[in-house]
Amino acid sequence: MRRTWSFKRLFSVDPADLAPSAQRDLRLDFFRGLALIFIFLDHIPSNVVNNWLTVRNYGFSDAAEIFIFISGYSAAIAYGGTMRRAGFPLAAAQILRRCWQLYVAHIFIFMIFTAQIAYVAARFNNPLFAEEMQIIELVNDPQSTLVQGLLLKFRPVNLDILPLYIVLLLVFPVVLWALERWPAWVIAISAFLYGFTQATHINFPGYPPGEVWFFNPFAWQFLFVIGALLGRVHGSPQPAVPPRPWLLAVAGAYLLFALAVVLSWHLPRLQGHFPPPWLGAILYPINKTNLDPLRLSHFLALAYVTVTLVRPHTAFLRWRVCRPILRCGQQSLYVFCVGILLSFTSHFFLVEVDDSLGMQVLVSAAGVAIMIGLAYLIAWYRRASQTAAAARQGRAQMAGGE
Amino acid sequence: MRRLLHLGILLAAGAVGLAGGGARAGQDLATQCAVPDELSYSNVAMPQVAARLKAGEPVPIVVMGSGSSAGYGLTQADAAYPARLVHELEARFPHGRFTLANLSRRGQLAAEMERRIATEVVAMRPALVIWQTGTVDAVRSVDLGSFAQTINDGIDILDKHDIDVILMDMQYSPHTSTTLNEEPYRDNMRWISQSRSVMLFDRYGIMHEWGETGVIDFSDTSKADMVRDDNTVHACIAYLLAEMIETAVKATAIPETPRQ
Repeated sequence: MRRTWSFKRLFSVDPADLAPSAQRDLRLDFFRGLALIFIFLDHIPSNVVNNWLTVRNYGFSDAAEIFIFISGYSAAIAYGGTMRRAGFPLAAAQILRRCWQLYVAHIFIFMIFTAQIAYVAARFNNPLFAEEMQIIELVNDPQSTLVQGLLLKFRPVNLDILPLYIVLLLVFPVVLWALERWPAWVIAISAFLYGFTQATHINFPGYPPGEVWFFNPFAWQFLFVIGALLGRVHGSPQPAVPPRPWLLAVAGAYLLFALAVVLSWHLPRLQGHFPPPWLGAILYPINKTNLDPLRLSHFLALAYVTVTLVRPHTAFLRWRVCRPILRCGQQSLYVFCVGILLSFTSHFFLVEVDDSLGMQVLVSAAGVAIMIGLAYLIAWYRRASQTAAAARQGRAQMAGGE
Repeated sequence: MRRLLHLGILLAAGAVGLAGGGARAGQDLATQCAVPDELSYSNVAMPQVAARLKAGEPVPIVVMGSGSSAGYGLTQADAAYPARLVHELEARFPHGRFTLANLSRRGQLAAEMERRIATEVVAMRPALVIWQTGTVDAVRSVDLGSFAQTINDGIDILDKHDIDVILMDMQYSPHTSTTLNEEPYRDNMRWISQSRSVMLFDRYGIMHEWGETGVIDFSDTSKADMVRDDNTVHACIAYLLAEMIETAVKATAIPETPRQ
């Protein structure tokens, strides 16, 4: 009997009924690893490397969408099982502990960043950039750095994604609990909040007064919740959104359209021709802060096409060349933090020492290599610790048994 | 493929550029300031400038910008690109009479500039307005939606009064680019320029290019080197602007009926 698809299935299936898959779905690790590498590369102001390599040049969405979606998806997997087995309090405690780790990581990166800025301010005073340097006076002010930074109200450019993640995880215990019982309601409320934000532009307050968060949690929570909803049914033999030819065609067409528009930004010869003014008036501005619907739908189309084309146990994910990326995805918090730090240092190096094309490529490659190296190091450490702990336990049992 | 070829040429040029080391007095601006086609290409016409040149009338130019256009921080205010632009244009159009009004002010937001365009600039009846914005708005994190709306409104006003426009975005300032979030503002200006067929002088992209090819060295700290770099930047901006205006004027077909 052919099973007809309905979205109700997404909301009605009980994750407890899902038998865990025999093989780990490597796609999650792979795309998370890729997203982390893209985030690092996107933060280096280089024409060559991040103009041709990363996702944002081929469509409206970029690594931020990938990261937040996969984070929601993974959070549902990681904590959903605990919540079902051990109840709300323990799952909530685990989630809040994760929040704390993220917060500490953010503050650490923030301090490094502040130190770099202070150095730059002391050393460079080219009058050509006198106007731009005013932003540095702001950062050097201790009130900004210490108080507002700790409160997550003052977040320098490029350090915005961790605070977003922290806020989303803070409310996640409740969201997860509600997802278990009333998933349709959760997604409806999330969608409503998203729509409300598009209309009113409410946002979290930033510093100085009048500023707002670069990633608006009220808008970006929608993508996180969609991820969590899909993560909830991770492991089911049927894909959450099954391949349908017409849906694939629509998604593919939209991706091609987005590609054409983005290309027009880099090809001045298309100016005035594509996109035509009436289309431009509809499309622009494409607001990253409030997760513009164009970006959201582009990401969802991209995700749908990707998971349809890349099956759960595709062989190529097990090739040796993919393994470094998988490792990065598996140790995502450390790799992410190192990636952000490396993007500062790479940028710093490029500006202070040598900004030539060759150096940009070198620095980017070195950064990726360091991220991969760190991922392997942590994976080894964890394995070794587990082996040591198991050996200790084994010896203790034997000793106790005599 | 063209891009790969360009890459190869750039690597070679970069090597030569680094060896040559920045501006030398008397070095030809054409070779020094050269940027790839994509950065200086525009297919937008300049009907007002072209018409006035053809009719032998004076060509008033207004520059409405922030600190970098006002020469803020430079030793002489007329070392900034607006004054140099007039010389460059006079060299290209020997019979043209160009006048310049530089209304730039340090710290001027786009909203303030748009207000002044609607009042002061329109009253001057210029042929061309060079509108440089985005820097101060990025420093102050102005709401992006209202920034885009302000630019659109300003262009509407200039269109209505038959004034040619060149938009200019912010400088490439590598020391502040990890602190200053200028990219969304730059994107907005680019989108508006592309969908409304307004010429955009991509100063950010051009300066970044110069940094990569060694025309300017952002890591210079000695006073003499900085002065030399700053002069190069402004001289080359004026040069490229003049080139773009010349190309646009020559490509603009002027109707034979006289203007009323």
